[in-house]
Amino acid sequence: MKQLEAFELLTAFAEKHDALIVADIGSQSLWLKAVKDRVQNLYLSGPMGQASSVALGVAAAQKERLVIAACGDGALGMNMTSLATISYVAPKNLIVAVMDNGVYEFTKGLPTPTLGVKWAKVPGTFPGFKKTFAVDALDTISDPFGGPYFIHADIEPGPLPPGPGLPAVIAHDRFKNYLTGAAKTTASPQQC
Amino acid sequence: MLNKILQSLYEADIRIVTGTPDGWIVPLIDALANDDRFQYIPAAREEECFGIASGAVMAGKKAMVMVQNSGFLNSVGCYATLCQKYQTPFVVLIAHRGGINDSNSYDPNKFRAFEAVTHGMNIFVHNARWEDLPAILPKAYARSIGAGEPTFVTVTEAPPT
Ligand SMILES: [Mg+2]
Repeated sequence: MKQLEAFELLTAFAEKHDALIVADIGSQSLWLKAVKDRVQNLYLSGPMGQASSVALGVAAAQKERLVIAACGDGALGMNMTSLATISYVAPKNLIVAVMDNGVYEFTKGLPTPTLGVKWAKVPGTFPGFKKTFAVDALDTISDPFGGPYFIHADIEPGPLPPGPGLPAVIAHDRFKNYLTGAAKTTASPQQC
Repeated sequence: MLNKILQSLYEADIRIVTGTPDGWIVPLIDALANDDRFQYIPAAREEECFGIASGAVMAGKKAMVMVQNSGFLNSVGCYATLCQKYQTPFVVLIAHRGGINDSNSYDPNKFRAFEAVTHGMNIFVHNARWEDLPAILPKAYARSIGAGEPTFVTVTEAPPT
């Protein structure tokens, strides 16, 4: 499966449940945006590996919404401790998906050390995660709010995604504005 | 004093707090974790805290991070590429270990590195006494909104018993 197809499946699932998606830098943010630029998407164009942690914060702030972290395998490998934190906190409205192509796609396709990880077994090591689903089996998630769940997308390395991405402050503003109706730039009480 | 800090956070609408323990902030962690008005998220590594708080505020809620100074040093890349780049406002309460009140051999290097890194990055840091935190923390949050960046508040002593 190509990463584009994995994001088509993830986006269809998200649209069905009106879910928010937080995507890692590089391939994940850009492929997600290429499939469909939803206001429910938060693109992280700066930090490597923070999608799972940012999504945990979003899930804590928006308990009525389903939240999906779309992580690269190299990125999640840099923030593996977040799996422990999420397992311990166990928010029912959070799903962590890993786009597993075995390479750092934006870094000349170098192999990722997470080739040493059995992603499907995440719930065995991090038991707060209730179950792992393959990305082509999202329809079998009968209770999306019964998580946290882990999604493994077994994808092949491919070409780089099309750009450009959304500028960081605009991504922030748009996401917050969608969720609260108040843009970041207008939230401050002015003392002129 | 802990009750006053919690009341001040509550009145400032800061309900999501995430952190990684330091001995000086353990009483505050315990108080927050045992108070239903707050959601305390214990993170395995400090860098996660900066991601969690950024996610919470970009989703429309107010947040605070509590870590040791060395924990910020673990998080500098995330701070620069997420918190600064996305301009995420929240409060960062730092146990600034290794100063005049610390005699542990493993702390002074953290103090020096934190001072050097925050000065080098031109980060605003306000040092406060524990008893002043109820007044300072809401101001720190208001400043973070206005500045479009986290506001750092440090304590350089153990909390009064
Ligand atoms: Mg990859």
